[in-house]
Amino acid sequence: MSLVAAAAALALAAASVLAEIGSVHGRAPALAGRGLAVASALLLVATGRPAAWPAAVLAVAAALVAPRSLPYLVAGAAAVVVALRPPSSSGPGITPLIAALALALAAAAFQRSAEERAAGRPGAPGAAMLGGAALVLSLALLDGGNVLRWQFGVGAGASRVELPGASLVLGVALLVTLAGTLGTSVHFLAAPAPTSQALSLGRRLLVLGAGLAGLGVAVTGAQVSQGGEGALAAGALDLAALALAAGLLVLGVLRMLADERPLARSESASTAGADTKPVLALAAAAALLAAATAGFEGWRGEGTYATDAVARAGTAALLGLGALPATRLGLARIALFTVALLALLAGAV
Amino acid sequence: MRLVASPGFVTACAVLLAVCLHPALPIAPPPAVTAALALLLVVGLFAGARRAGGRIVGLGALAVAAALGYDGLRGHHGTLTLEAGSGTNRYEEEGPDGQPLGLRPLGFDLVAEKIEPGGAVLLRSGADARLVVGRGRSASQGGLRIGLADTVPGAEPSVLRISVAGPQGSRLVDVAANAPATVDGLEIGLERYFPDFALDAKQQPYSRSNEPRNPAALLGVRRGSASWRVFVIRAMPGIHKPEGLDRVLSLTEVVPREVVTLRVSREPAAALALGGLLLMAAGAALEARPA
Repeated sequence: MSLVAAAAALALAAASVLAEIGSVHGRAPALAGRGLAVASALLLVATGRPAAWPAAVLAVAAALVAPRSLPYLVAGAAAVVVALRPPSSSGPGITPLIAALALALAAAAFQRSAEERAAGRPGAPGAAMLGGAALVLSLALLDGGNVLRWQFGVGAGASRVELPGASLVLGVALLVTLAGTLGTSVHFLAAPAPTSQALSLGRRLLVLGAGLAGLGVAVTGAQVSQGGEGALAAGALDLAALALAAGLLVLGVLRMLADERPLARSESASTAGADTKPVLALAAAAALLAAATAGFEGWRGEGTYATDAVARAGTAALLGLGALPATRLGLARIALFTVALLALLAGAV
Repeated sequence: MRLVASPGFVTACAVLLAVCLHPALPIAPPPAVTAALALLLVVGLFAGARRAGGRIVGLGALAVAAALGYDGLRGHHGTLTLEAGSGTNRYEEEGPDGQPLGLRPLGFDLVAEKIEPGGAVLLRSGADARLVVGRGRSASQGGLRIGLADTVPGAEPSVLRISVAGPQGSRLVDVAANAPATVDGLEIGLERYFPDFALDAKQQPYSRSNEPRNPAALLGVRRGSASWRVFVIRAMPGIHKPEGLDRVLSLTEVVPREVVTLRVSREPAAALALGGLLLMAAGAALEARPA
């Protein structure tokens, strides 16, 4: 385990929270978040691991081009993978670096687009609902859905490590967050009133779910680290996905709590007013460039551009093109593009 | 034409094409569907373009679609397997779905001069052309691109050196899958090989990994009408002595077979596809400029 990369992951998580606070309370926390992100990028480079470069690019792009909480969070999740995986001498190539840049831009565009939508619906805990849905989905999918059976482990076969304590916390987090997400969704779908019992209960459960998710990530990390290098490497992607989903919920809850105060609305709306399209167009351009470099790397390395890596990069690039036109389901299309880039990067590092 | 030029049409084509291309899709859609979606996307990009950036994206998409179509019709893909020192002048061609299409001439002779343990292969073509391929490194020859295939069966250690001890002393024989050996009137065949032998909770044998850390094997031994099954493990020579067999068999060594599988591709429009993608990226970046 790389402690330097783990420190970078923690710093990026802090940068994410600072960016979220900065969107409500002015420039100082946001600037501090940018500084933390740049410092994290330097820490990641200092690990001397080529596998850390995509995470470093994500952190730098988040700090300099797209300083918002979601790109910082994604960079933090990438740093978790670097921290847990054993060092490797071979580099990831150029494609993951460009994909990382595209991902930072796409994540920023997604967050900006979501904020623009939320600005038109005051009092709606949309970000918390989204974070809750992401956490429920990731918990339901991780380890083949074993959390639903109150079991959780990492690895497979003889090297599998069962995590009974983590499974209990994650199972409870799943139930509480699911109830909170459903409660707020019910209010959205059914109640024309600005507030309702379902919304009130849903908000409280989402706050509790965020706490349990954070606890679950900590317990899982602690138990996985006791399982040795093999368990750490096997659980790296799962733990990163869990941390990302938990982070999304925590950020959503922070935004939800900030929106309860009258001060927050006008200031956060002013930062969300900028146009999403330029950032999204740059993200699509970077994704297309990533597809081109994947093709070149495949041709040079394997003798053909007809490889799975090119197909994945091409898919992400096409979803980027599909997210650009100003038509319906804009937020869903940007989300799809972001997830495709996330999957591309997760498969490449 | 208004429908084709609408943003929703471009979006739908792009998303559907993305789904068709993704390797995780359990069933590969017919090539005609993918080609039709690609053409519709190109038409939609041109028809819906309002600015220069959009038109450049359309032009790039046209180049990519044309390149993929040309390589699909005129390109070739296949594999060939070589042992160290052996050569060939043809390869096994594969169709778009990986189905074998038969042997196709390379157009030149190719000899594997040396196969490194790490997977790097030194190839010789003709009198003086030497090529090196390996992980992340392919080479061009005669309009073909030659690279290392994803799976390299030859890298697996698959020849077992067996010591057969009897009254007249010991002899060594090499036994491989589907290649039994005969010594002192005994025919020795390989039934199962465990590179990293272990027993599971039910005391059933399995291999913990593909690395030959604790190699063991189950051998089928025959002499005339008599037959035995002999378990050999490198860590414990001669551990199993079946009744009636007057020889002691031991696994002494696992010898890696120096065989390599190469991927052969002819993609004449690869440069056009690369140029098209770069053009699309430039066009998308131009779209980021304020109107």
